[in-house]
Amino acid sequence: MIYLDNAATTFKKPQSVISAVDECLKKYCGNPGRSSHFLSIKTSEMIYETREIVSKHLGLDNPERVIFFQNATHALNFAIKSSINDGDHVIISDIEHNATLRPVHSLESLGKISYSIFSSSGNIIKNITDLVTDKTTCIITTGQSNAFGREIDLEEVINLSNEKNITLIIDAAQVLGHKKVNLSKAKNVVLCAPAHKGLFGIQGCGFSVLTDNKKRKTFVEGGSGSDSKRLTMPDEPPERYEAGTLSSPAIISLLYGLKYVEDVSVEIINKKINGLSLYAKDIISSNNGAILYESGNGIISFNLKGIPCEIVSYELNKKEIYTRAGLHCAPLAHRTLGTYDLGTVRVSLSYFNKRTDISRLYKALKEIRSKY
Amino acid sequence: MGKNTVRLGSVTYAIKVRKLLAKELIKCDLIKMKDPKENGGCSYGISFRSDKLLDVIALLKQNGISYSLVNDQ
Repeated sequence: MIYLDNAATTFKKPQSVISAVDECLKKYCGNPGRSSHFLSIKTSEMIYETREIVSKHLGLDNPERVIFFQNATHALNFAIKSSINDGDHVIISDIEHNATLRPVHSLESLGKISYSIFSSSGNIIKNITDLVTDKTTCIITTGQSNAFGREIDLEEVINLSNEKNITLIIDAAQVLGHKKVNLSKAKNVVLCAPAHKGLFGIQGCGFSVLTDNKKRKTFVEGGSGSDSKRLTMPDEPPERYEAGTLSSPAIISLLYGLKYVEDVSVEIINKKINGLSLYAKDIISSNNGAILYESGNGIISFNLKGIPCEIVSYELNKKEIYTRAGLHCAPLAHRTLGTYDLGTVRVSLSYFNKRTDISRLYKALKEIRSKY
Repeated sequence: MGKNTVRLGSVTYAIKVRKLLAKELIKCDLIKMKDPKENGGCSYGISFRSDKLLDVIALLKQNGISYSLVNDQ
């Protein structure tokens, strides 16, 4: 089996992550922040440690501003809906995932906000600045497209956000784990990401990291573990935004996944993924009839001329090579790159892929080419 | 030697404070307690030796952490 769908979720997880989840479930997984017995306190401590490592990884030292949700989509919905008020204008990039596009579009269709889309090619800062109005309160951008290799320089956009005092929401789903993001100088940023992609955790956890201490609206209210007589959620993060039971095993998997990433080092992971990406681009483009789109940073998007992308992916699946075909929940990105009607086959790599995986992919594509 | 208790609210802040105190070599216990406020309920706090009271309060203030002091035990 060759797994090449890591942008959807990383499949091979480090053994330390698997062992940590196993240990949690077998030895201590109580409900964190609810009781005073050993299981509850131990789980609370592990979750706090996860908040600490996430905060430090991003250049911060505010574990209480790491807010957990069930995935990055929920984290982004929180970030967007708690940062925006009626009448606001929002700017998003032209390569956003539906996790950003849909909530923004939903707010616009309800008549609450207006939004503009900036081009992710050329001078991005000028492209954004040209769209800023006196009603602009929020810029939302991905760090890297999930469908193509295109990335956005987050440091530049953070500087712009600071300069203009505009909230910046970052979708770091495809970035963390192989690129460093430093929020130490960011004033008004909410960064959102999932545990289960480049950070090698399991599904069931995403997070928002706040760089400011602004009190935000709540969208989900429920049990918070303390002050139960209050009819409102607590005033302070993280509990203010975390109603109900957290997914402790998933959060603890993030702790060990991030420890693994830091032990290997982001730089080494980045180097390997970039090396594999270059090899994959070379080898795929040498296939007769292959059309390669903007690729790199672990994501290679292509089509085989005359064969629908879904058929290519289906044939690869029969050979136990797992990819994803279609629009990848990113119609905006596909429209920008000119593949909205066709879709593409997406190969997405992780640190656990090897050159031989790419070689086998090449051989398989040759066979598919000759079959069709 | 008696003990003092400070109420901190959520478990996150109780653990944060316990770690801060540990760095200063001050031992404390993490406890669940009733909040006497009418709209309170329950909360987490820390219990420590009363001769460390001033150090603890100073650390909480230095780190901008809200707390309320419970009577000596």
